[in-house]
Amino acid sequence: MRRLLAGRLLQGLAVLWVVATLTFALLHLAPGDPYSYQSDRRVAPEVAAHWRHVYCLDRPLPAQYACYLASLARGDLGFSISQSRPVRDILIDYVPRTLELMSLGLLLSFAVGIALGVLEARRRGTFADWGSRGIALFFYSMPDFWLALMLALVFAYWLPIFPISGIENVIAAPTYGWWQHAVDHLRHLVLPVTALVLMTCAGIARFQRAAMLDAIQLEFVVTARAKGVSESVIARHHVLRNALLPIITLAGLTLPMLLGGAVLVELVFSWPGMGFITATAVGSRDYALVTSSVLVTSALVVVGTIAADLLYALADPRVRAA
Amino acid sequence: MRIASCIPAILLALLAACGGSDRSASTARPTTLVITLPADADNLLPPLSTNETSAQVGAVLFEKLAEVGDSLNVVGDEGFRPSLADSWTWAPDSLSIAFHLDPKAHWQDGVPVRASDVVYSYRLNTSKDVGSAVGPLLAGIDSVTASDSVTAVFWFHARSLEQFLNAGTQMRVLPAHLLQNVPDSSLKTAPFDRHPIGSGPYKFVRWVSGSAIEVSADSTFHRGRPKIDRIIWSIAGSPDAAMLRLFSGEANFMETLRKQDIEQIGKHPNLKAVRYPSMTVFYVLFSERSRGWHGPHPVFGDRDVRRALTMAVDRRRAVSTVFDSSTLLALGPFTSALSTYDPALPRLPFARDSAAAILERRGWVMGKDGVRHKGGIPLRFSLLVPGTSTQRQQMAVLLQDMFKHVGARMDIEHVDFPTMNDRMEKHDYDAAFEGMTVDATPSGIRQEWSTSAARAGGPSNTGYYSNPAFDVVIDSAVGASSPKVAIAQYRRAYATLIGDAPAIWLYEGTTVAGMGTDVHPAHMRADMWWAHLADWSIGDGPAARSASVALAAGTH
Amino acid sequence: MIALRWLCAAALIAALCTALWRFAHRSDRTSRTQTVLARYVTHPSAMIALVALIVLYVVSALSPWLATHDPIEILAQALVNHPPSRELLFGTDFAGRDVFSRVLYGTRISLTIALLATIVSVIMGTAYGATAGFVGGKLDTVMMRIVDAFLSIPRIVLLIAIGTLWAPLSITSLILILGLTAWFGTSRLVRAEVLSLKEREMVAAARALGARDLAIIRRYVLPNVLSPVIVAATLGVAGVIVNEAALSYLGIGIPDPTPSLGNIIHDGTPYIATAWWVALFPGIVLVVTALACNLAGDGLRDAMDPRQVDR
Repeated sequence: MRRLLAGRLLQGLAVLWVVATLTFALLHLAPGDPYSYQSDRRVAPEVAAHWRHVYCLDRPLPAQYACYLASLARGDLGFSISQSRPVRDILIDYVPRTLELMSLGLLLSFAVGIALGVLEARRRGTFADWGSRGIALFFYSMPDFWLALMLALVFAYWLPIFPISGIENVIAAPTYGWWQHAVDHLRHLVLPVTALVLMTCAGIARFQRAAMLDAIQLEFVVTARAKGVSESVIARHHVLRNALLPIITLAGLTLPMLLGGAVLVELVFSWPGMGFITATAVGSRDYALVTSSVLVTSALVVVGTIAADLLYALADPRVRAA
Repeated sequence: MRIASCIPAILLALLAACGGSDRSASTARPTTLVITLPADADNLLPPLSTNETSAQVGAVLFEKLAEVGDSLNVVGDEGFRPSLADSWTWAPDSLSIAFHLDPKAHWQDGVPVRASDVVYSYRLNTSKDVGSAVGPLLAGIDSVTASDSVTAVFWFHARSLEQFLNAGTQMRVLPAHLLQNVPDSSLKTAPFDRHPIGSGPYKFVRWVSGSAIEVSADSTFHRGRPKIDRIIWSIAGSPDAAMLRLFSGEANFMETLRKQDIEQIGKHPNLKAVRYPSMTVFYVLFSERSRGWHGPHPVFGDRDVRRALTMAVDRRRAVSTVFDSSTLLALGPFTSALSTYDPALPRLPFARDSAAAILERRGWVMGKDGVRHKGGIPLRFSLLVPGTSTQRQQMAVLLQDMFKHVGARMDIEHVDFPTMNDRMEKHDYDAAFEGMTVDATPSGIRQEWSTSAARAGGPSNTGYYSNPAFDVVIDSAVGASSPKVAIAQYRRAYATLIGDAPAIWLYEGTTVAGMGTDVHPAHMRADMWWAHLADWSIGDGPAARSASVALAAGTH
Repeated sequence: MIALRWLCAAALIAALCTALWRFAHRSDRTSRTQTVLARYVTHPSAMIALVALIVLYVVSALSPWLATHDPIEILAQALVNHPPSRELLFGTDFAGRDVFSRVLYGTRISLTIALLATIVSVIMGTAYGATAGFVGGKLDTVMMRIVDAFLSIPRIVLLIAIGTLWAPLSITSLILILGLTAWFGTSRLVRAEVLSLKEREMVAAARALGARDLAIIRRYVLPNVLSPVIVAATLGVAGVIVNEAALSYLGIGIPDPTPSLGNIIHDGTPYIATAWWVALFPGIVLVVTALACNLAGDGLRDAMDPRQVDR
């Protein structure tokens, strides 16, 4: 078990190093640098030259890479030029917002997906089964940005029941008590989370349905059925429990998909999270911020996968022994 | 199972029901101006801030010694308004100016503003380790000294028409007692940057990054309490999201509207559109050098071809399609807000037939594919358009169509700002859709269009426009001893530039702001509409609804 | 006139579908393709998807002939953001261009890009996965860590970064980039398949007989990985078309005035509140395309999987 963990962690580190190198290469090989970005105010050439020097941007590429790796190794994520503060501070502000979106999305899409999958498996072949699978696949096929856009159009513009964008009601927020804060925040979460859940629950439902159908054919279920145990008890106690195991693996796989979906959802709903800040930072060639936020995103995925592997190993005695 | 599956629905319904109240910005008891804009601020310490959001927030938190007046005069000290300094005296030889601070002025922590703060701020803005964008503008100043606790004296290397402007209005004064212990190089990470304390009309309240910045009125402000109680900058991430916030009542001010938005605002019961002058001109810049510096550009190296292409563009139609018929057409790389502007300047007319005739005369013969050719080279070029600017993209599509009618084929290349600037600096482009913010100082035109700027490389004059006649006139304009002579010379230089058609001058920035009907803006200055935010007010009852575009008070 | 052309297109589609049906139901089931097809056509949802795909491809291939207007022509200033009408089926956009014709042409471009990009990704993924799986050892570990790294970055982030940094992308480079960011999953799939094949007797036997690696790959490995790869490719088209749309929606994909489904939505977004039709119709086509690809992929998977049971 410990060896498994150590091995996976080492692999994870290797993956992160590849990611860091990749993003570095991607950014530095592209035309422009943070100081060629000027939209409204112009930075004087001598000022730009000064800062280029401070941030090693005037050195050859290998030296910059060494500079970057050295600071990464020290745990220093660098200084964001477009936001004018340390990247660490920015991430402290923005990462929790994405995590919040993600964890709610993950939780709800699993709740909805598993419920749908169980329902479909139990009503296999009926209209409910077909209808539920069809609708789920319909949302699954929807481009995430377009789904978000349509949700905003319908539920924030045509029927103004939810806020259009942002994380809080900036006007009234300072006067709120804690519960009003919570309600306000939840209201802002509804549309983005809905978009994420609609996108991902189809895959989970399909997986759960298949797992249930597999489990139904297992011997002990057949035995239980032969003993005259009622169908709903079988479904709850025997089939569902057995079918839940693969869900852990699935959670690890869904995470990257949710993170990807969250990027566009954040952009459409102006949710100031990781995707939002990464997209903005790429536009302003903010090297430190882009590399760090990509690194954090992939670290999330890597950690998620390792966690899923470990959980699986803990839950499944066959793997645990190995 | 049944009940459980209803719970989310019930929760959603509850959440939906909870909203709806307190959505309108203006009905909250303390009057609140909610400015919605796309980008978050970067740094609230003025020498370190580089974006416009920070500039707006910085302007209500910190003061300058003096402010440019509404006439936007920048030569001498005529029309300048007192701000932190309530008066100033020139030395007899004009080589120094003494600013007398308002003795009532104080920092929001209670400490009075002193001349030593001015000395400190000057040092900070010129420090190499700070890298303030204002720094280069202060180059004409030799030193700043405090002659007594409320008098700061600026000493100059030489006399110039803009010496008052540079000394009095370029930098904001910062609290030395709070900052002087921070080394220059670690100023960027100082806690002060995110919790600033200034001497301006508003006090900093909070900054939720990526979401909102809030300031509140300082009732002890030395020039009187500002009228609006709170100002919030609500960060929307994109112009579209900002617009939706304005329409939904989550904000009551947005600085620029698009044409369709203006039409929408006319129908909205609680919003009005207000026009104000701007300092931005938009134009299609021709690169007169071929890519990679191999002699003149095959198409744009020819002055007549540039003129013909300019004449092929129906600028009035293009501009009114994307904006509206009242948007000002640009005459040259300057705006109507400048004192050197003259509406009677010459301009190239829209004349498709003469444009075609000129092209024909210059050897560009129409080919079978509808594109002109000259010696095997097609009349084809690409236009760099920043992908983030919807209006420029829309107008580029219209221009493409207009060029097609005279046999020129234009390809549109969407690029982002860094790539665009990078490629322009490397002369790797044919034409670029530029938007330039004009300096309040007319002399900026020399830096942008002179032959020496072209030779120097860098971000100025990337189109390599070069005309000795223009250089001579502009030099004499900048060096003129009296404002009157200067203005006459500037106008001669403008006429030369327009005749050479180094660019197709399209329009002056769209500057129609959208705001709640009860928001009463003070004068909105062309170079910074937010200059007089402290004088704005929000009425109690909704003011008379204006269906059409109103004019900001006191503008022309 | 246009109506007549549409009738012709409908007839063509009908003829194609019938031909396919006939082919699948020929009595002499000798080839594997036919067996698969026969099993495929019994799948109702997969059949609907196939018909939808045929309709999409035929209509978009004939788009120059079926369009009511020139997709990049600016009709008139009065027709800016005009709502749908009998003349202008899907209305007009901000510049006064016919959205219906733009959607037709846009579908063609989006489908072409998706198809070509998928081919790129399948070739890349198969080659990469087969190499890693076949060679094994250290090389395999390194190659798979690189795939892990790519898979841990959301694809859209990668695409946004490349698209923004190297704007503007030509259509060729767009295809390459979409293809080169879509092969990671396929390569894992192929590698797993190759690893399991390597253990089988026939490969061991061939190797014992002195067959060269390349020959083994061609003879035994490729035919066996074909079916999972085809399924992955069909599903991949849906992913690529959505990603292309997302890029164009963000303004970094296909530049104006060339229409693509994504950039029509991009044009409509600022005016979504007033001119919803500009963003709605291309979105519907996108959903239909992606849904059809997904259903067809599922159908193919079921049809090709010999272990498949009726579920």
